[in-house]
Amino acid sequence: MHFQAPALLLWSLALVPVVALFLFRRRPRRVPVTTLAFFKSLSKSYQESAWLRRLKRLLAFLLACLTVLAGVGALAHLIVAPASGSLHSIVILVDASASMAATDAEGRTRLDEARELIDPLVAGVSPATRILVMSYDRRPQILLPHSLDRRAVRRALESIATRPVAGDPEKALELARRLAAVRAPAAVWHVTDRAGASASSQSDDVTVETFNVGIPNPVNAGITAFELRHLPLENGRLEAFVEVSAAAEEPLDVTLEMSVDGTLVALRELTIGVADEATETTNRARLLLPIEGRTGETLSLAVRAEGDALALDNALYARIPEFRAIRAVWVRPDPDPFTRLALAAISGAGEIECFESTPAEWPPADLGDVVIFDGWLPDEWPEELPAIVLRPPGSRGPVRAAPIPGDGLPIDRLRAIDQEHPLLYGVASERVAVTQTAVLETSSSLAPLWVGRMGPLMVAGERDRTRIVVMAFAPEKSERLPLLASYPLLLGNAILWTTQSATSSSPGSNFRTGDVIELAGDAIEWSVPPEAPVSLPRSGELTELDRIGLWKVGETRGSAALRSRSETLLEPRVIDPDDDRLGSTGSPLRGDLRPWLLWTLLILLLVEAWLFHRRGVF
Amino acid sequence: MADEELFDPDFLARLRTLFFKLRRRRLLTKKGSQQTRAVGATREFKDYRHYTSRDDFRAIDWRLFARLEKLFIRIFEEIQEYHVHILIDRSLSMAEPHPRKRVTELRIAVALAYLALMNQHRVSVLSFADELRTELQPLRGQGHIHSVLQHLAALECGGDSDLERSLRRFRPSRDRRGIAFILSDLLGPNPDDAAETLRRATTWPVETHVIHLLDPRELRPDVDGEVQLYDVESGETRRLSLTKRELDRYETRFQRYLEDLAQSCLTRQVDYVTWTTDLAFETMFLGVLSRGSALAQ
Repeated sequence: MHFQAPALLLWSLALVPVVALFLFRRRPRRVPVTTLAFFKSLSKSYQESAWLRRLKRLLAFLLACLTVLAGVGALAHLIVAPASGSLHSIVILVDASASMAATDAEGRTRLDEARELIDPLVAGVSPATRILVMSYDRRPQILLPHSLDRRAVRRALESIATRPVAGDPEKALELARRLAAVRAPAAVWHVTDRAGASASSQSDDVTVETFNVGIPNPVNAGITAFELRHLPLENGRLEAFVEVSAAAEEPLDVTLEMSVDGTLVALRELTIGVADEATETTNRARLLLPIEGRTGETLSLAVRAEGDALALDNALYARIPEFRAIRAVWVRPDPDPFTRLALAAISGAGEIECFESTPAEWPPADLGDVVIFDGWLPDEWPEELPAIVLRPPGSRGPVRAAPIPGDGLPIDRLRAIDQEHPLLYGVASERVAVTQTAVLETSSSLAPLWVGRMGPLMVAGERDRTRIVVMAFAPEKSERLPLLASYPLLLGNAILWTTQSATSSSPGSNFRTGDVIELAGDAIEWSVPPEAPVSLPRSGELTELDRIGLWKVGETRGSAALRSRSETLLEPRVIDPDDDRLGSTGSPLRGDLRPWLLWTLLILLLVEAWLFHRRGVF
Repeated sequence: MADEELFDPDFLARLRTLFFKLRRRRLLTKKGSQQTRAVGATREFKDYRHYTSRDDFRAIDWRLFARLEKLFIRIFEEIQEYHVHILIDRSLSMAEPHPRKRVTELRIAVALAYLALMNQHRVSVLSFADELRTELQPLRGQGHIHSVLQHLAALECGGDSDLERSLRRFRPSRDRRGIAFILSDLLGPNPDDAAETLRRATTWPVETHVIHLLDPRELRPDVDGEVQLYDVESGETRRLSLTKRELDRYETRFQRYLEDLAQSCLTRQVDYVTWTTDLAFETMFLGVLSRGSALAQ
């Protein structure tokens, strides 16, 4: 609380005569009359007792004091807001990510509440303080540079609209801090619905105040992950990996519907619990849904839950991709029969085509979608080519392996680090016994999946957006691997997993909103079944996917959906009773109090006139 | 109070030509010196009139019958004596805060007493406040005017008004019939009770004339703003904030009180008049008594 014109507080001296008159009031004139009978009959209210007269006198005094104080407060321009008098600039950073479109019980979005919160604060800012307005979702955006024009600030705030894009507050806050530091001392007012961002911070010259506008008790369910993939060893069949997350104080009943071209093909009733580490319950459910559809048909997913606050994460659209066999090149100095058998098994379905090659032929004319180095590694590692390395003879490129001398080390019992990894789908890790030929070295890009006694014997990961799998065991020397179904499954999974990016980048790819992709074309056509498509002009090579639905540019097709846990898992607003900041208290008495004070002054005058002068005629 | 203030020789001299009269014929046992229109049994011849069968045949003038051969009877003057009762309000409200009321009251009393004494009527002067008090025993003869003047000049006002109690004690005997004058402001703790109290006058064997003495400031107070009013008789106080509207309501209320009082007296054949002290005394005096038929010339 501060005053814009503190010098005018001197008007509070007007209280002196009020108090003096109260303490040293003039006694009324004493007038003798022959009878009081007629005066008594004038009004019963005049025949008041002494205590009532004293009460009315005290009330009149208080009203007079309040009237003077309200007038002085209005004159001195009372502001209830974070002190901005000493600030050179303020950066208003408004979260415009998808979660800000969540509605409360009254139907107001978080962005509406953010505007209601900010408006009085802006009114209370010193006229000499410049204000910069920013919004952000995945990327920050400057809507108004440092300006003294308050109307421009309000217009900029009004222009903010939420987009179905996940937010990245860290980048935006960093940029806001830097911009604020240009005109230090400065403050950053960060308005968001994220409870985790409620903490305020202060550096030497820039203070960050966070105002939380989240829903106190949010209920929301949404699709937070989706993937279309081919079923291993099943020609042309697809399955959808779907993750549904829910934010609620109690377990939430969620309905998941899957349709193909408008026809309902699957319905799941889910009860998603509340995340609790103690009971190991999670606030998400993962499903694998087989898809019976043809290439080019539209797959749509919809989530429904009672009291759902955010609609943007409830729908997802995707096109069933065109089937194409994956081409794998097997480069080996001496062919291993078991590996050949396994590759032949997975090639038999027509989903994977395997071509054999030798190190002498390296590099072949057609590298295919993935290359399998079996007991051999090239001197020069092929860039941007997925690779599966079997029995690495040593370290080369991203592969770091220390060969075990002799025939290797039998491993009876493997330890699977992440059994849920797609590479291990259907693989019975606990039944596998192999002979480890090298000890692999893990790195930031390659994570261990199987670990033996001496160390990792299978690692997988990404390097320069290219997936690599390294398996350091000899199938022909392994006791329980070559003849198990796990080996062809493992190889098939490895081929599918490593080539996933290649297959998914084909027409029909599914993106997250906010992704920027390279496209060629003059217009992008968006469609949300069953509505008619909307064509929007575009230019340049890069296009940001800022809508939910199916898109098409030329012959390139794809879809975009929110798929963000940070947006779906709405965090409840944390109200700290000890926090007296305006954003937490939500008090209507904030910002510029001059209108309040003037109304109070008027009401006080009316009350005083009604109480004490309503019988007077002047 | 100086006698000169109460005694105006010029005005009193003009009263010599006036005399009291009663509104209706009353049987008066006392015979006085004032001639009336009525006939009586005095020796003073007044006129003749034809004899009727209901007349006393002893009144026939036989000499006239002998000369005119018609029966006439002789009628004589009737000279009556009234008893004039003057009741003076001596409560404190007559002297404070408007002392002019007391002066006017005493001047009226002196004038009435003078008029009565000049006409050889008996005059009784009584005063009342919280109780009735006889100030002067019945007097007769104009020589007593001086004692009346002295006594009234020395009359002090004080005490509360209790009109009911005072008038209850006023019981004029049948041999003291005549006219009663009540000089008062009729104000007390309950002014509205005055009308009911004056009903008692119908039981008196006298004609009653009520002269309601008021100060103009009692009809409309000349105060405004925040005041503390106190009753001069009871000492009770009231704090009021008086505005023009309040004063208008007061005036309306007071006028209604006066109208009710006048109506009440009218229905009981009690002559009532409001006398404000700002009016000319002589004009008011003659007008009031003439209007009330208490005065003849």
